[in-house]
Amino acid sequence: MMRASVERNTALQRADNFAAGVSAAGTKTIQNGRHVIEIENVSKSFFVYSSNGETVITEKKRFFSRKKPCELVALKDVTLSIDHGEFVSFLGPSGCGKSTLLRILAGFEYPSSGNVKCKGECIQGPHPQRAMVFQSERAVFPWLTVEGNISLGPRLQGTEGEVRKERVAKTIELIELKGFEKAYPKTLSGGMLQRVAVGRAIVNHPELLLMDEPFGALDAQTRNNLQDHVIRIWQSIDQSIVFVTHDIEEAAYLSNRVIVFTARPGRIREVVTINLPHPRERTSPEFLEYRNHLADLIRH
Amino acid sequence: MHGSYFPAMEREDIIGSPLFIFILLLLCVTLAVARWLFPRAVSPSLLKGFLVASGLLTVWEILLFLKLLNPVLLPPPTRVFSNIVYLWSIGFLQPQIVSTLFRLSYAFVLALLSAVTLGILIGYFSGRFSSLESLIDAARLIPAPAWLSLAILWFGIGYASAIFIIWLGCFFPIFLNTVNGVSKAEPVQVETVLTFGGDKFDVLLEVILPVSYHHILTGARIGLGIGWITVITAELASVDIGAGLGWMIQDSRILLDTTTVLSGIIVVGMLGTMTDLLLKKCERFVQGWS
Repeated sequence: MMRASVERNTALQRADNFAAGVSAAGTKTIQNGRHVIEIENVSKSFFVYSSNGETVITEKKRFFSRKKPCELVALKDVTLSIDHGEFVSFLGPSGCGKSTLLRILAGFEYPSSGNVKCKGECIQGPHPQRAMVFQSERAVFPWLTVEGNISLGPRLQGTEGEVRKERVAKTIELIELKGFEKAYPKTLSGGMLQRVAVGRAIVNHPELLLMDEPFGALDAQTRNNLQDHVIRIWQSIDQSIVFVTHDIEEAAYLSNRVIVFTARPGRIREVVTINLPHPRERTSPEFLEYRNHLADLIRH
Repeated sequence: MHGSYFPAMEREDIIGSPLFIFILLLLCVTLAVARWLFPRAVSPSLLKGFLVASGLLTVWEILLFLKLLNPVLLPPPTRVFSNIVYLWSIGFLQPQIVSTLFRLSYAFVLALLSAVTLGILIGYFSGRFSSLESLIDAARLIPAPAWLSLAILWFGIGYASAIFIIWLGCFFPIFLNTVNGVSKAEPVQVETVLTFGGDKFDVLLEVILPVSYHHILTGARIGLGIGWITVITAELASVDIGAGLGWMIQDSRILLDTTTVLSGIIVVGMLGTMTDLLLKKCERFVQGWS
């Protein structure tokens, strides 16, 4: 079964996804074939200049520099598509370019070669349809209340009065932070802050939710709670999630599909489809089998 | 001109030494009783500060009462305070205060606007303007009054040259603090605004200004302090003859009217404290999150 679920061929992969969409997500429907994101042959490299113990990493070659830069290939020939409603994880050793790929999807960086398309259109810079959840706690603005932080998206979008209020209230309910609307971030715990970050991203109903190791800095207990939380949110909304992590169990627990990256330069090593219904049992033999398989892929 | 304002009158007639010390003691006792009755209304630091200040004033008064010091070189506090009351009552002090405050606030508002705008621009595009920043950093170390003679040549004797120097004095602390404040905005916060559909202007409003607010305020408070130094210096140097507390001090010095000199100094001190408190109040706007 494990061997069968590991596919390189995209056609087979789609067929497999269809099965995953029906069996794993329960009420949630994954619309196979309706790609939200298409990544074609994407490569990304940086240029590293080091002199006098100072290292500068740039995206473009420096025109005036006499020194020859050392080229750092972060991603090489990545081809991937993400379906509507899917939960995809990028898993890989640190420095393998998975965060870079996510930042390319968000529009903060551009691929050195290859194409990234969102609903058939090339990605040109950040767009509210692809909302990002950052790892850093500082991303939740300390000068705004929980409510203010969550209404940031609608405010920037120009969503007016009642609609905005209603949306914000609904989101606060969804992230279970009722009663904390007027609280400032400094009074909240790390887990609550990450929930605010997630709420802020989903309030605008984006097409795609990008999460960059959102629970990396949290303790195990809080992380497990938040994972269940994210699954509940994912099941209640219509959108797809791309989740970057280096935690094997997290990837196996959350996603429909795990994209395993090799160490630098980052290539796709394998795409593992996880055919388990939510909520998943962390101790069930099937889950452990997937986990061990992912661990093997990371190790070698 | 000066003399016409001052008819011959013994200014210490308004409050005599023993009465002054008695009033100070009475105030101390009143404050102590008030503290005992309403502990919340009177803070211990206020009481302590008042006690120390009135103790020093009493010693000063007694030293002069016993003729241990020359009253021409150091007039007693009773005479200084009576003089302030007297100058106010004949309507001489008010125009000086108004003209000093006008100069200071004019230049300060100009400095605030220019320094914050430039600071945000340079802080925001720090990569492109880093050479300009180091140039301004070097110019900061030139004391503003050093520009005095050039300012007079450029702008003539009058308000403009005074305002130029005061602006120069206020500008650097506000500017440097703003640049520092803008650099405190983290890339992740900027990217947050971008990912939710904001543009560069939204980044400015939603991230840069809230982050740098505190720093701008600190810069403004330091700038105002330097502004007070430069406004008095400019008036002492008679850049703009005929009005201002600095001019009053200088003019009285020429007439050996040390009482008015000291009155001017004390009025400047009181006004400086008041303006600083006013700026400090602005910090309340951000009390929630800081």
